[in-house]
Amino acid sequence: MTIHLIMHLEAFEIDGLREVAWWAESPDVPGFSAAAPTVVRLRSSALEALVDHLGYRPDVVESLACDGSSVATADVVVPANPIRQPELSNVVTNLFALAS
Amino acid sequence: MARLTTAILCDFAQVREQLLFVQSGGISRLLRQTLPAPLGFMLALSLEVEFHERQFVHEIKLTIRDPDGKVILEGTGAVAPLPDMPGIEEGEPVHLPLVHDLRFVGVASYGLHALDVVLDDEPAAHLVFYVREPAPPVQPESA
Repeated sequence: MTIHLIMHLEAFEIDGLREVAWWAESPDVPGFSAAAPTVVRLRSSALEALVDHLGYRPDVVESLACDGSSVATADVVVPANPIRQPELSNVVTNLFALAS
Repeated sequence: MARLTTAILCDFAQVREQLLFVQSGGISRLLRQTLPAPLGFMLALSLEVEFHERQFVHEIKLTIRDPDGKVILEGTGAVAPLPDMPGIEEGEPVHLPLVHDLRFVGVASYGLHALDVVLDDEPAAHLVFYVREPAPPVQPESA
């Protein structure tokens, strides 16, 4: 069975420090979610959790939960459209400009 | 594994019809009379994804450091091939062009700056550029 993972990139702020994190959900496994600081680690932990839950190693297809728009804000200057979305892909981005 | 096949600083870049268009690429020197000043360039990237890996999401981290190593810009982005790619053939790699518009990001010091791109937790590109003052104009010698 192929499991569809929807990958979310989220930006947040803790004590004035801006961070990003990933989390995943799946419409094929109700209630499932996994989180990690990077997409590579998220893939690994999500697969491990799915194996534990399902009892077998599923094929996984990932997709980005985004509409191509920026997901974060910045203090200084961030271009209105940092990444132009190519037609072949979903793109999500955030840029934190830290310069004075 | 996805790999970064192109990373170049340029005056302008855009993605059109799934292709990367780069204008005046290869920037390594910025002449700025006063600081802070805008970077004034864009970053053009192209990722190559193997056919059998097109179902994965890829993460791109971008960091710019000033000559003292201070981070002046950082960001995280992601790109994923769309599941239904019209016309793709078995075994055909997928090229994902991306453009980061950095023209209005401020730079506050002269010297060697570094721009690093990390793709899926692996260093993928290291670009450097100098920010310098323009040379003073040469006065013509009187006869």
